[in-house]
Amino acid sequence: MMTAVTETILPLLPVKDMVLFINIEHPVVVGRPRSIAAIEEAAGKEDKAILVVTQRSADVDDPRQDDLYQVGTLAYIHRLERHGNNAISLTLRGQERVRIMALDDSHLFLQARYEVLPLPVDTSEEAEALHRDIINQAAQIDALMSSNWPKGMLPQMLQSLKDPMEHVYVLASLLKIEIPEQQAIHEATSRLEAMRSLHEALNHEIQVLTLQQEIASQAASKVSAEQRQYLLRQQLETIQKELGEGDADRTEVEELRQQLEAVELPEDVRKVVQKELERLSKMPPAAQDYQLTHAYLRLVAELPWNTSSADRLDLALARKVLDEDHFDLKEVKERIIEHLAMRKLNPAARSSILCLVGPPGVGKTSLGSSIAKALNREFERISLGGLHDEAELRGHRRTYIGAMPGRIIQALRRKGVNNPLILLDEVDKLGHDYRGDPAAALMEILDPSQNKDFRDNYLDLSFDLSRVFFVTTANTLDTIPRPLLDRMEVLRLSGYTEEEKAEIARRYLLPNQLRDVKLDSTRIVVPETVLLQIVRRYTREAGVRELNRQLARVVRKCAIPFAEGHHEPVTVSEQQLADLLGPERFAIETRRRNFAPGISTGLAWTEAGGDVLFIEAVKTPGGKGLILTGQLGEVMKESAQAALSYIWSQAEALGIDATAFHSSGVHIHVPAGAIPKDGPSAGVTMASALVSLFTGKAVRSDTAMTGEITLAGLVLPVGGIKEKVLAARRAGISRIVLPAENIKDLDEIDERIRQEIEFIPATHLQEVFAAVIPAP
Amino acid sequence: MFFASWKPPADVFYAGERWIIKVELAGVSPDDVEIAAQDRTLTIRGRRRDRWLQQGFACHSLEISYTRFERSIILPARIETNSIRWEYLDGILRIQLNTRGARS
Repeated sequence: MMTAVTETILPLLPVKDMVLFINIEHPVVVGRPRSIAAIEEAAGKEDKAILVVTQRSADVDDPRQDDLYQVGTLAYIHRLERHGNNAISLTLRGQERVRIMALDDSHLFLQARYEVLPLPVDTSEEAEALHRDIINQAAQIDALMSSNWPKGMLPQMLQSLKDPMEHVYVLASLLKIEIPEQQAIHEATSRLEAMRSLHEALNHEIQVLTLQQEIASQAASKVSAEQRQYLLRQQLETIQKELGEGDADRTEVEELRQQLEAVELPEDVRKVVQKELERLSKMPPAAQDYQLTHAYLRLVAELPWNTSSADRLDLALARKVLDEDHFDLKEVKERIIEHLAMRKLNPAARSSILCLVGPPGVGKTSLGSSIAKALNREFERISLGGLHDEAELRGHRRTYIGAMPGRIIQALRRKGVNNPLILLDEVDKLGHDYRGDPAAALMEILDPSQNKDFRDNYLDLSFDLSRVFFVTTANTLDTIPRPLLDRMEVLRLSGYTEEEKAEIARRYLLPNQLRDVKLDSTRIVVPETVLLQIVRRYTREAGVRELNRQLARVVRKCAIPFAEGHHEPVTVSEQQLADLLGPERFAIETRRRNFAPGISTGLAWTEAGGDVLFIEAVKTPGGKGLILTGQLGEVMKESAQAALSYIWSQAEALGIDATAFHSSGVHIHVPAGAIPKDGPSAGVTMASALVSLFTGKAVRSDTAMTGEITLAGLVLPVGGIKEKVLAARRAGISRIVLPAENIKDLDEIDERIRQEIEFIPATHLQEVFAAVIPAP
Repeated sequence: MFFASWKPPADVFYAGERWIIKVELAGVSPDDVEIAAQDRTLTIRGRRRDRWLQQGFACHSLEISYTRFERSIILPARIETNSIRWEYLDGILRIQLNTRGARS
């Protein structure tokens, strides 16, 4: 060992995260002031020698002896460079292993006395074996290293070195070996010990690297699984092509494209469709949007943009069809024929929007389908009863999950023509809530000037509804919003008379019932008089539904003998009705006879047809004011007030003692008490009852009356004349006093009935009183 | 960065069995140089010391290696140890020697 360093005390540089081995050059960046001072001290000496000792813990900034390992390295500063931020980077070269004897930290820098710790050059077979294995391990590690490691560098470097310890030191400082292990290798008292430590550390390193590679390859195999699937799909596609099956999804798109090309689309629709098709063909079939877009395009393809059915414009034939299906209803039938005539003259004319109003069971819905039959149009019925979601009519936007087109568009798609007859049933029973008002949506649909460009939310394209024949039905117009009603042509179907019902039963209902049991009218005979009795005693309705049910009962019961094998024709007599249908359900309403003063007969209109009602008035001596009972509505109460006020004001002219109004109150009751009643049409009836009460003269019991009154005594027209007249006739009334302005409504009534009843027109209450209260 | 220790550059000339070897050893004191020959290998080793130190000056940067050095030159024939002569001039160490025997 020549030229040993002369000094026995040298500056000491504590280092973290590294161990400087002999004959190894190592770059270090120094920033701690004490370390810099130590380096400056060393660099200012001839041989630039310094002691390098590793800290036990990297966290300590100002290490004492206890914080440092005991064995360090005598090193030379090989290169030195200062940086602007007061840091010094240097290259140290390890020279000797040293033991730190005494640390002196009383100066600006650490310095220590040391003793050189030479490593004996021991050779053993075990060391030789370990050395070889270490070389092997190095090769393994080199192979296992990640891609940015220069492959082959390590074995090459080892080859250039001869001394086994140099191998040990290179590997120990180059590979990721923990500081305590590095220090252990550095401190080893023999080569064998150093090699053992390194061998162990390298083994650990190999295990870690192997594991790391395994993890990496697992991730890689995940990716390659997807790639595999992709490849398999590609192969499948090829196989399908070979088999002539083709790609199912692609052909689906192709099919759709052909379908869309085959239909004649408006220009703007064509554009949208092209864009959507483009999107679809680029989408993988598993994409969420694929199904949505596909369904949408299918709808567009199936909608009848330009397909319409040819109208049958044969007026005579249409008339025949309508007459076959429905009895009477002249007004409605006439309107249909008018429509046909208009179409015949101008095929491009707008379709009508009709509103059929009438009581239940008069045949509104079936009339709808008859109209369709007469015109030879497709028929679709949409029930609006209870519908309260606007989206039902106009559809949901496609962005919503489960979005669907509205019912109108669905109906058109189903029918495949753009001019069907769509019956919007129960338009008076539309609901509405926070989801919107379907009535408002209906307004757009039913407005001939707007529905040319009907825009369904789902379709989001304008569709021409102007060729659709809309027919709506309703029981009452009261609940239909005015603006909506305004867009429709209202046709009233009033109730049928008893004779009409009997006729309907004979012509339509009975044959239908017989057909159900496969018998004909020669087997079960129900004479017209019996039918009339069924109508009168077993039903009370405006329509014929209940009648139909009663007829069904009759037919069922009469069919039993035929089922038992008898073949004698059966004729139903009036006497048998009680057996067949049970006791009669409605006594025929007869007029009351022998009225006391204060009672008069009124006529009411109900949704189920007309009705007769009696108004009873009594004086309540000592009482005060007017008492009204019988579930009267606001309007009816007011009209009672008006009647009383009028009579009071005209007491003298009417021959009434005016003091009577002071001495007693009046109570007016309208039976039946449980049925709510309203409307102004009972005005004349109440006035008559009151006059009769105060004059003490009874009202004629064969006379019924209707009409609104004013305080001036005028009689104003009212509605529902036909129903009222029919009800009066049923009750056996022979005279009816009605507002003069209502006389024109009598045209609706069958000629025969008009003959039976005497109609007395009135414009003023005086005329009413004169007609109903006979002079004694 | 490892083992890139200072290796002084050397030129080698020969004429038959006579050799001249020049080694660049600037700033090295001849006292700190050792020349050894064994068989066909000539080894020059020693160390350079920083002898130009001035009191009161701190080190700013360091590029000259003041470490030990060792340079071995292998010649094609056996070196005659007795024939080695050297001189040190202008920072260059000049060695003369003879070889003997067959070149291999």
